[in-house]
Amino acid sequence: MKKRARGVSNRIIFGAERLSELVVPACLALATGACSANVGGNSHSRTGVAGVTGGTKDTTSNGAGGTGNAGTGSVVGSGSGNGTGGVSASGPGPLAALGCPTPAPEAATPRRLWRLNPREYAGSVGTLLSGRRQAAQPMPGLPVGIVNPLQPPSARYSTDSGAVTVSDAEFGFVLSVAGEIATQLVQSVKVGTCWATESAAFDACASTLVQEKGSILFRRPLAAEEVVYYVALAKRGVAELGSDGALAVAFQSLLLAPQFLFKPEIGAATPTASVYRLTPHEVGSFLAYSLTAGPPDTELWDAAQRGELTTPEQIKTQTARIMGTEAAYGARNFVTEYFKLGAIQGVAKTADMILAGESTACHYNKNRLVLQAEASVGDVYASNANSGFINALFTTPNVFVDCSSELLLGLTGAPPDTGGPVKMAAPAGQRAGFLTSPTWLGALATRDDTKPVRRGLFVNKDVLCTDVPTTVPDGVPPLGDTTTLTMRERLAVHAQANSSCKVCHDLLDAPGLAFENYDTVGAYRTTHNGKPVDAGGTLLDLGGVPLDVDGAKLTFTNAVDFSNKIAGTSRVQECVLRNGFRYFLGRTETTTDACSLTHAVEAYKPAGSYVEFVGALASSDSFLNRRF
Amino acid sequence: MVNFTRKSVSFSRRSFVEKFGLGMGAALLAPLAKTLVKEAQGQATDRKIAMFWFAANGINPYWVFTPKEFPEDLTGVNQQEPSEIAGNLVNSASFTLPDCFAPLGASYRNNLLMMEGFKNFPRTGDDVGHGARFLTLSCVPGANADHYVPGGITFDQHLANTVSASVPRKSALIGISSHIDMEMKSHMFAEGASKPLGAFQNPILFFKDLFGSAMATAGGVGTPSVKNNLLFEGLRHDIERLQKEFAAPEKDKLDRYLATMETYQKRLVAGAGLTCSGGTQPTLDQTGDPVDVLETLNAMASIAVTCGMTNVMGVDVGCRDSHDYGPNLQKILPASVRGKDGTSLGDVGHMDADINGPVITATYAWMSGMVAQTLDALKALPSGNGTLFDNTVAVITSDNGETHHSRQSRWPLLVVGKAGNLKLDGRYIRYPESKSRSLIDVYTAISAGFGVPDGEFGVGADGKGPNHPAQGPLPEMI
Repeated sequence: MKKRARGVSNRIIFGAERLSELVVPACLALATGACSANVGGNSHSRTGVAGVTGGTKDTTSNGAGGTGNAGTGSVVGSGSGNGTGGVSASGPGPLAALGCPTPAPEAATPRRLWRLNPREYAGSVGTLLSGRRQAAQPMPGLPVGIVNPLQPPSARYSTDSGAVTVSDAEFGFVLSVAGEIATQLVQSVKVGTCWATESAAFDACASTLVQEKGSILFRRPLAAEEVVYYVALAKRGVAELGSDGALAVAFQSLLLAPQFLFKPEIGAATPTASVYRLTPHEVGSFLAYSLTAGPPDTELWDAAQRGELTTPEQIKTQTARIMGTEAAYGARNFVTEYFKLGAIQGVAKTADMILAGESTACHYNKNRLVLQAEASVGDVYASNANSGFINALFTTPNVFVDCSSELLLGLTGAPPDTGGPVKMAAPAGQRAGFLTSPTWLGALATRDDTKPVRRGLFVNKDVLCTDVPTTVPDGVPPLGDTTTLTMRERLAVHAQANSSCKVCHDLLDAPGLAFENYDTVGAYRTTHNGKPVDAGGTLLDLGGVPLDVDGAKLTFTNAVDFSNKIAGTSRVQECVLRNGFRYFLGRTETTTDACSLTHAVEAYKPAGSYVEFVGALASSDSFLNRRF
Repeated sequence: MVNFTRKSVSFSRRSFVEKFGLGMGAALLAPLAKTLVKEAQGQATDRKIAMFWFAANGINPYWVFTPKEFPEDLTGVNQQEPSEIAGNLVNSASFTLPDCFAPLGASYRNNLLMMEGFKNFPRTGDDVGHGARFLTLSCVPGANADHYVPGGITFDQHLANTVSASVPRKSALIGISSHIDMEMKSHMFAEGASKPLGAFQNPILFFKDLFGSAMATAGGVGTPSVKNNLLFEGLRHDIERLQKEFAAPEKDKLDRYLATMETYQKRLVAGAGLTCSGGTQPTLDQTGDPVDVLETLNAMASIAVTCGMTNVMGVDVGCRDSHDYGPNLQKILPASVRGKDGTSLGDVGHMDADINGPVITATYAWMSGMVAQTLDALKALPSGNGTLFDNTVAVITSDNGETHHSRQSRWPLLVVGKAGNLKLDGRYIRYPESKSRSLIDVYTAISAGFGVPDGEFGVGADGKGPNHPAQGPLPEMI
């Protein structure tokens, strides 16, 4: 049964907006059908809205129509994957209206059991084999010859493994790989440990090793009874397997245990009935995995051992320390995943070979584009993690280049593609931030089509936090000739007043066409099919009214102008930070999180500090407090 | 070396592919068959084997039928235009096997049906690119649930539920894709709770899963079993201990983990007495040359079938939006259609006519060669009064039946084998548009031939299935 929801004006309500439960806003109520996403030159498919998944559910009334403001409506959700429900809406408004009452209620989200993702598994095993990492050391990975047995979660962010367990498809690998790792571990403890001593008593030495290795894997000290259990289990195999084989059983058991493969967040009892507070080791585990994709380093472990990760100040101190190290892969990776910079590797390009003018020795290379984008992320992170971070993501004029991309970027003098790319200033007026990088542009285009609808969809969903309908109407009018018309001219057929497609194309076309100065591989152009490119526009909301961006409409002349204008707006900054919440907490926000997210946004804003934002999240009630 | 010993099949990729495999032919197979004959003495006599071979992005009759069977195709070079089949039903033993199926011609010309006139519409009824794959086992973009079987199973898994009920693995599913990270494992063959074992595109992982330490010692007595039993006991203990701390839905994850372990234990039990040891682990992973990757995967899957680990095998060449799978198969393409720099030449299905044809023909010829090798091996293995081939069916076709890359109903399908009362006797069957059939009807015919009950394959958890209605087993087939 459809539920009619209230229009919500000028406020954010953080809701249960998992991908599988995307709320379809008022657009559907306006349209007899829905929207076309097919702008493919060859009508490849109607999947131009790729990236929007999930079906429709309870549709809403037109919040925007009622208020003309940022909110686009709300809907009563039915609960997210982690068992929470709530109200969902989109469209960040002023911070004061984020929905956090005073005094803030004590938030408590359910205990959770997120599985390790492949990267986290690799970091854990690498640490197990090489020993707990010193703070300055990079996170080790899997040793040569060990294949990662886990599959990544199918979610917007790699940290969202809330729906994942160990599947039938993975179990055989997990078992097999655990055996290989355990064998290597036994070999390693034959030097410099009690296991090197022939006369060592099995029980005593195995107990020591199980505690030592198990605490790395479980991210906490093992309880005495746990150690006793694993040692007793192993000891039953001594007669058949020998001492080494039996010890390997203990190690392999640790590697198979859900206490390792999952990250239990249970908490300890508090004076408030039914509320549990995460333990210092659970906080340490969260910080380590979310920021470094591996278990705690020695400094973090020691802090947890001393019981220090209990106050916001202690948590923020550790957060800032880790984010200031090279090991902070997770902190940088948020940007990579937010802009989907790795997605280009899955996009077929005719230009996978050689662009016109490139040499056979060094030419367009998707892997190198990802590498260059990651270098650029690292550069922005290094320069702006403590100030002006989001602004820099959308405005940096610098690019990282090697010979495989210099023609694409209109540069010369780049180094070979055998080493790292170098930082260069892009030609004036051509690039501003990651939305104008060839990596992002190429990932959201196809082989022979710039796909402005995909680009516009990304801007709406991920930059402006505007919901866009997901349903494709029947009878989508074909677009015009690919060889004589510009994309704007071709798309006009879907933006006509009497078109069922218009309601969506109002949202998508302007931000999508803003990038028409870039072709399918992200090369800059001023003409298309012999005609000048018109990349200007005004952001529109549902009903074709101007979108409210911090109380004003936003008009731009091209993608660079667009990026520069949106970068400093509250709407965009709050939207990026909402995504940051989803990345670091590995789930979509709910109403329970409203105050925590509000405070984290407040922590970010004075200086534009990414570090302050993450520290505030990690010390927030909605993260630290749990209920059964 | 190939080292087949009684109830034990050792695998060496190099020897298998080169001696048993492609390009080497029957001369090398003959001595191997002598060993296989001895090996097969212990094979169950009631095995029924099904194999499915698919390639991405359609087969346009224009490209594969040589000489052209249909005059209209001679001018129909625009493969995006649908072409209906006019005329009456054709059911004839007089036909020319297209070049792309030639490797099967020598030994199996009289054990196959070449058919066309089937439809496989997606749930929405839209006939879109990469879409109509309900029944063809292939992966699809995850964003479009109308194009696969969410929560349901594909036909191979339906069949496996019966024919692989008492063997260690329901199926051996493999493929190559430009999406090497997760796509095939996410969406190929089935999705949701009924998802089978993974569809592998990484030979190393496939090797571990087939011949890894636990499976290699399946059912053995002594040391290995002691180890496995301890591990499973410990894992059960750990899971049950943690379960107490959580309510649903988190507790459900632990329940599923436990169920997964128990399923694996059953596989081990089912493999008791059967040891298909794997020899040396391949060094090739999914990033290797795709020809080498699939041949390696195929060799291992063939071992799994011939030695009795499973009775269902599925192969997908190119997955999801894999227009580029063809150009990546440089090793099997004629020099005339390789890229100028030898690395790439564009997208299959979107290229010029003079490239599409040779690429698709070469791809299917390569696939057919691998099918023939596996069938040859099965034919060499005694079972009851005949061979394992006598209860084997292989289906070869494309992964979709849409009009964007193929010709909707004009996509040929080859069924090869000899099973039950299936009439696989060397005929060409062509259903005209007025009598077009659903692909379901092919599968229900195979089910009937195998004595497997019909089921709800191809239907998602929401009850939706393909649009083209099923009419029952094809009378021309059974």
